Order: sequence, then structure tokens, then C-alpha cells
Amino acid sequence: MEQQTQQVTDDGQLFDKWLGGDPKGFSELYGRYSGRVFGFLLRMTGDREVAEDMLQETFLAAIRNVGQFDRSRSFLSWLFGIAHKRTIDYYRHAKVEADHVDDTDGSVGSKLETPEDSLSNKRLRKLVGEAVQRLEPSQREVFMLRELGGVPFKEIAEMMGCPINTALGRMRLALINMRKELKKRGIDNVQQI
Amino acid sequence: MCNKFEESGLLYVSGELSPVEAREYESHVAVCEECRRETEAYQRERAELYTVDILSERPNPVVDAEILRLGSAARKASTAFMPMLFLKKYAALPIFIMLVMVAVGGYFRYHAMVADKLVAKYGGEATSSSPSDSAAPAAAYPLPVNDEELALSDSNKSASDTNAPFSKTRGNMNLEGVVTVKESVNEPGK
Repeated sequence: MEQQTQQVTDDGQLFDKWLGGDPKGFSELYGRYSGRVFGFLLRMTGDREVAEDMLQETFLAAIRNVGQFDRSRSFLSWLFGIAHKRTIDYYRHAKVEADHVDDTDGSVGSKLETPEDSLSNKRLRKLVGEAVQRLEPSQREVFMLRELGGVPFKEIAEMMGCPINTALGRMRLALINMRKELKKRGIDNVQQI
Repeated sequence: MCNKFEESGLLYVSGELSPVEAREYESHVAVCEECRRETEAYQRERAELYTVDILSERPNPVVDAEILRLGSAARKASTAFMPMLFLKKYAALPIFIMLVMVAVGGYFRYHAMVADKLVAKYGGEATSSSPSDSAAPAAAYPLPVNDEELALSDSNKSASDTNAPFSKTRGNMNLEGVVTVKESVNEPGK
């Protein structure tokens, strides 16, 4: 918790640098969080190019609405809130959800691979990525917001427009389904990795 | 089946419970095997599977470079226009007051010009508020300073003063007001 508070403070300092016109403030915040935001967008869309476009839109929206950032909140949660809105627009306007589920069957690993990964990490990322991709979208949403964005459940419920108990219920189902999917892929519990 | 893990266990592992609530949950876990197993499994998964390293992804470096360029350019642009933003924010009132003053000044100037034209057309001499312009007529025709002089002046004017530049009955307009203004302006120079 203390580390999280420290992180928030550092984010605030970088944010002030950025507001003051120092490009290092923005580049450091981007370097710190772009991977997480992109991971979220990639898992939610299943398409690298679409996720890259949405990553750009997310950070441009952050730049445009920089004055709306509430300092009492975590910068990462705010950023994930913006990214989450992009995914809602994506699903709402493109209506790609059904196609996206079909498209991801058995081919997720090849889309998500990055060449610089080490072998074991690469395997693990592939397996976990596949398992995440098999989650029902609302469960995947809560799971990724919580695990990758570190967004508190209360804020997740606000983002999704549901009671906190609903968000918690989806998270529990996500955890149960992740275990099932990982078991199918040979990971029965984390000690066997 | 116990629902305590869903209600509180997830929040406990995420560090979102108050100290009192956290102690309550720990007391529950001590007696509930199902919740204890669920809690331990989730803590293990978070530590070894659901980490930032495993879940995060890197975009194409070209995308990275483009976003960084846009981010830096946007802040530079906004700071470069800081003086304009300051002007927009703080200079509106003074500019408005200045415009009102110009408008009022223009209004009076216009009426002075109209009066001058009317006098030129009907009275033969333009009125002016400038002391230097009115100095010569004031010297040529000294104004009366009291009632007796005023009465004497009126009787003299009606009888013989045909060279006076202003005549209250000349033309179609009553120029009494113009003469009055002229006299009041000339008074200090007397």
C-alpha cells in the first residue's frame, strides 16, 4: 500500500513535469504505463493493429483532457478509465465481439508474440494470454482492469455502471474460468509452471 | 458454499479493506477452509501468473515513437500559447472598458462635429471647445460680467451691433444654446 502511495506521488511529479512543458514527464509516464494499457487493449480487442490505434487514441485523449485528472486518484486508474471507454466504443460501434471470439480461437499466441521474450516467459505469456482471451468479455474486462490496471473494485464498478458486488462476482468467475483454461493447457497450479 | 471470499476475500487480497474489515476476514479464514484455499490460490496466482510482466504487451516501436512525438508536441504547443491564454483570461475586461471609452468618445466627437457643421451652415462661424479657437472672438466681444452690464450690452447690441458673429435671430435655427455654450467656454479666458 505504501509502495502504491509512493508510486502515485511519483506519478504526480511526472505529471507536473509534463504540465510544465517538460517532455520527459510525458515520456516517463508513457514508458511506465503504455505496456499495461496496451496489454489491456490487446486482450480486449484481440487485434494488435486495432489495439495500437486505440493506444494512440487513449494517450491523445489523456493529453486533451489532462485538466480533468483528479490528483486524489491513481494516474494509472485514470488512464485505464480512458482506455476502457475506447473498448466500449469499439464493441458498440464495430459490433465485432462475435467475430472477435471466432477469430481468436487457436490463433491468439501468434498475434500477441513479441520477439524479445525469453523462452519460458514467452510460453507463459502465450498460455495466460490464451486463457484470458477465452474469458467472457465482462469477466475479462474486470480481470484485466484489476490485475493489469490495478483499478480498485469500487472504480471498476463505476466504470462498468454496475454494483460492486456484480464486479466482484465477475472477478470470481474470471478466476475460476482462468484456472480451468490454464488446466487445459497443462498448468494445474502455479507450482507446475 | 461460502461467499465470503467473493464478498471480502477479493478485496482483502487487493488491499481494499479497512484494517478492521481485514482483521474480520482473517478471523473468518482461520475457521473456513474453502475461503482459506481460495485466498491462498489467488495470492499465488497474482504473484506468479497475473503479473505486469506476463499480462502487459509492447506496441510496435513506430507507434511508441508517434505517441511520444504527439505528447511532447502537444505540451510544447500549449505552453507556447500560454501568453495568449493569459490574455484571454485576464485582458477581456480592460479591453471591453477601452472599447466602451472609444465608443463614448466617438459619440461626443460626432455630436461636436454635427454642431460645428450646423453652426457653419446657419451661423457663419463654428463653435469650438478649444480655448485657443475661441480666444479671438472673446477678445473682440468682451462678455458682460454683471446684470447692469448685461442690460447695457443688450440694448447696445439691438441698436448698433450688426457685426456680431452670432445673431440669436439669424437663420432658421435658434442658436441661443450654441451662443450660451460659447460664452461659458469663453468666460475663463476673459
